Amino acid sequence: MSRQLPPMGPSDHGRVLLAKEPLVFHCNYYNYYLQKTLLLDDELGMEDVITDAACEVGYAVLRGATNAGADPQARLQMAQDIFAQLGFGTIDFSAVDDNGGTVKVPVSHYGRCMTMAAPDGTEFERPQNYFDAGFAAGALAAAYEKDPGAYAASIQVCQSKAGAPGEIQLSLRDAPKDIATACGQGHHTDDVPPPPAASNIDEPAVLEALAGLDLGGNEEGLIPRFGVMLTFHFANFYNRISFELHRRMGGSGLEEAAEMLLVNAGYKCAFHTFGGIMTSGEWDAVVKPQIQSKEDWVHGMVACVNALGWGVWRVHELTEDKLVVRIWDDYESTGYTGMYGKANTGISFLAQGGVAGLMNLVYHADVSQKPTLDEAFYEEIFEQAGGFEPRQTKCQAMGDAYTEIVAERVK
Amino acid sequence: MHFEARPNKRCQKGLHLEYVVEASVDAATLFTQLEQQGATLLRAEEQWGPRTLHRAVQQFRFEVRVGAQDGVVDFLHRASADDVQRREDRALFEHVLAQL
Repeated sequence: MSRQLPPMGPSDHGRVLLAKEPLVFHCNYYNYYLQKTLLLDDELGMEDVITDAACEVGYAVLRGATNAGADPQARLQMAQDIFAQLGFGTIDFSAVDDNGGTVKVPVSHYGRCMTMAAPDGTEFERPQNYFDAGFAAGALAAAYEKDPGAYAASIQVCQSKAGAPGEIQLSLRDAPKDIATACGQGHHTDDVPPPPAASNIDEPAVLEALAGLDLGGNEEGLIPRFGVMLTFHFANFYNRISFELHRRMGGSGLEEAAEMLLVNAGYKCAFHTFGGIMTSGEWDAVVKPQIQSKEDWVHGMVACVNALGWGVWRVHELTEDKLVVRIWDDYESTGYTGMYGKANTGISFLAQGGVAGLMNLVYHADVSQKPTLDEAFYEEIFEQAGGFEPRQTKCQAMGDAYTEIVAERVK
Repeated sequence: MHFEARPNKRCQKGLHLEYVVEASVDAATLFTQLEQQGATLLRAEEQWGPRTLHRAVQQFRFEVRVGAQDGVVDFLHRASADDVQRREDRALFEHVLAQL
């Protein structure tokens, strides 16, 4: 399948860049749970935050595409290809011009795959395709070389509610809305991470095998893999929406609650994405033959994490009751400093959930027995005694040389 | 060939079916039989360490994967295929699998 994409490839610091935008893998379950978390309180106004964050990255990736050409139609074709390649679905700009118009989304990750991730019988009270709307607005602005906030996006139809193709109305604003400028890779450390910890896992071989997988969107722009629906998403999108929730809830004295919710989203991510990987055929073929101990399950998964664009993870200490992971250039820290400057508290929420979630899967759930990773099992593992809880002991965004997460079993 | 179908209930729920088969399935034969029954397949292979995954895609309708798991053929509906199409595609696939 031939798609016209901006320059895309690995950079230093464990990143894959599309144009200058860092990408990270996340699944539909994380996307569902994170968005559900963001939208818990109507008064926070997070719908606009999500839409604007998508506009920010949609604009940035297309403006950063040095091979997009000058023709707006060619640029919009590239926007369609980016949308499909990254697993967001299919989007159709054929009925828009520089005044706006209607954008169709025949297949939408946020419209369809959120439904798959939600508990059976869930009926969404509101549309879920804010990302699609914002991305469309940002792409159109970039295509016509307008201000990033030039277009307003109004969701007319969302597949999560109607089942029908998504529909977004774009209209030219009288005056552009202020949209933040994406920070690209953000700020990275000058430190060089140490080599992987000693184990039976050959991390370079794992990374080489994973690099050989076709993880681009299929013909309907989705990435069904590891038992989940993946997206190769914009790190700056996740960062903007997560940190803005943190900031807004913090403003009303609920900072700790916001942090707990964001860490919980990380648990969901670990359970479904890590769990999906560790029970997959790919894992059985590539990683499992190297495993000789329980610890190797952790080392093997950490090797896989280093292919997700989340930064460079290194196991620093591992027992059956404790895991210390040091992370160079975790995407939350690099994004935070790029967006807001130095942090005054640890902000690596996804990483915390990921590290504790990994230990829960290996030492609490015994993922080696390939349990059914459903909601009932999640509650059994993550919400009962004997599981692991994380704390952040260093944070690159606070000026530390690396981020450090400690997950310990709760006695 | 005898088979048992089981749904994968995870995040692709409703889309992913696993067919447990009693003998190994030759991917090329399965895909050719599907084509002879009217499917137009795009075929691809992927190397997972020592294992080879064989994929065949009927665009916008379904994908068949052979080699992901021993003794299992994976059948994945595409998200945009409607219920009627899914029933027809699954019937076609099961008919071909049974004939192997």
